[in-house]
Amino acid sequence: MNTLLKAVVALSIIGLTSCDLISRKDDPTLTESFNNKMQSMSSAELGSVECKICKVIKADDKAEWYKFGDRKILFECRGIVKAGVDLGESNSYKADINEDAKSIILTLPAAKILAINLSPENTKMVYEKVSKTRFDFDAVERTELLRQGETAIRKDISKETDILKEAEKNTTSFFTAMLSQLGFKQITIKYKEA
Amino acid sequence: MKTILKLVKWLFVVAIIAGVAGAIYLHFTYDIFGFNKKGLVIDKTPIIVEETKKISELTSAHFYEEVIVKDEKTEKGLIFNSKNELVIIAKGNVRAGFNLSKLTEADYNIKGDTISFKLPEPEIFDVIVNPSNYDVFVEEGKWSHDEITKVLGKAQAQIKDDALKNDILGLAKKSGISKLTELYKSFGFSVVNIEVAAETEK
Repeated sequence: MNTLLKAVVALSIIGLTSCDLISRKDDPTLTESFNNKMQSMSSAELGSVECKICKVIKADDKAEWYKFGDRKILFECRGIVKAGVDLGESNSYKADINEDAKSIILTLPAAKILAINLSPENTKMVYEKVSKTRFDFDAVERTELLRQGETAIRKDISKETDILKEAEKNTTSFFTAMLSQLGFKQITIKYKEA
Repeated sequence: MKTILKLVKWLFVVAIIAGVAGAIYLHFTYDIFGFNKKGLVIDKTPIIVEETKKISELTSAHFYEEVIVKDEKTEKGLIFNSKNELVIIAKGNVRAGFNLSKLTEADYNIKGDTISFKLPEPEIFDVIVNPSNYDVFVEEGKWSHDEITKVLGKAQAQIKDDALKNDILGLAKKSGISKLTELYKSFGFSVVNIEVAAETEK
């Protein structure tokens, strides 16, 4: 009987502790993280194109033999993608000048995506349906789905759109205008291979 | 006494079996252990380009920061009210530099191998806090998407404020002038004089 009593008391203590009812101490990890980490860096990215994009992010958590009911969620995610050339890396560009002929051949790095900004206020949850036998999508799950959407945008933006071509076209027009203002008559802009 | 002890033993066994059965039911129905959440994947959808704009932005400074933002709300229960907390750890990237599209031919003054021009004042282009840049560290109770968005907005504002306090515009100015001087020197100018418009000239 004594052993049984001890077992019941021990189980109750474990249960109550795990339910966080007995003690609720401050999380040390959280306190340590409050020391903000920050860093400033210089760069030289010349952005030449800005695209406003929209992507529907949807997930269907279907019913299975071991799950009763389904869950569906749909986000409409709007963002801004900027592309251009990065002039910050050493030897990223080269200018060959012929002063007599007033000609210049400018070789620039290949255009790349410089920034993807999926601002939280531009991501709307437009639909959510959860069966009564299932839990709602929590913040962690919703964030995970949005992350997958962001990864898909990063992966597909240069394949599905002409953003990099447009960036090179605009960069060429920017440098052509600038160099002609500086007095060059013959201007050639080239790009390195990506 | 023996019969009571036997009965208690049986009740204990039944309670354990019921507990295990209950856990299995809760797992399969509510996914309390989170096994099914890991498998949740989005469907493939296209990227729609709504607008394309030509820009000439020289981003000459970045500011990165990790902040912790909190919010709490009280939810009414049947017996007790519960205080629910939300803690998000967000990493942000602030991009700043010069909008070179504001430069016109009239801004350049060229005399021999000397070029002088005035840049517009540096500005903040973007404050980026993407889904891959934040983690929901604590979520007590239910927090809607709009509530999370509001908290992330607070993180964005704090990161922008800190970037300004840490003089991101000063760094953008210094770094921008240095990079443009280097660029114009590569075009054959030996003296490059760059001024930056004061805020009052805006």
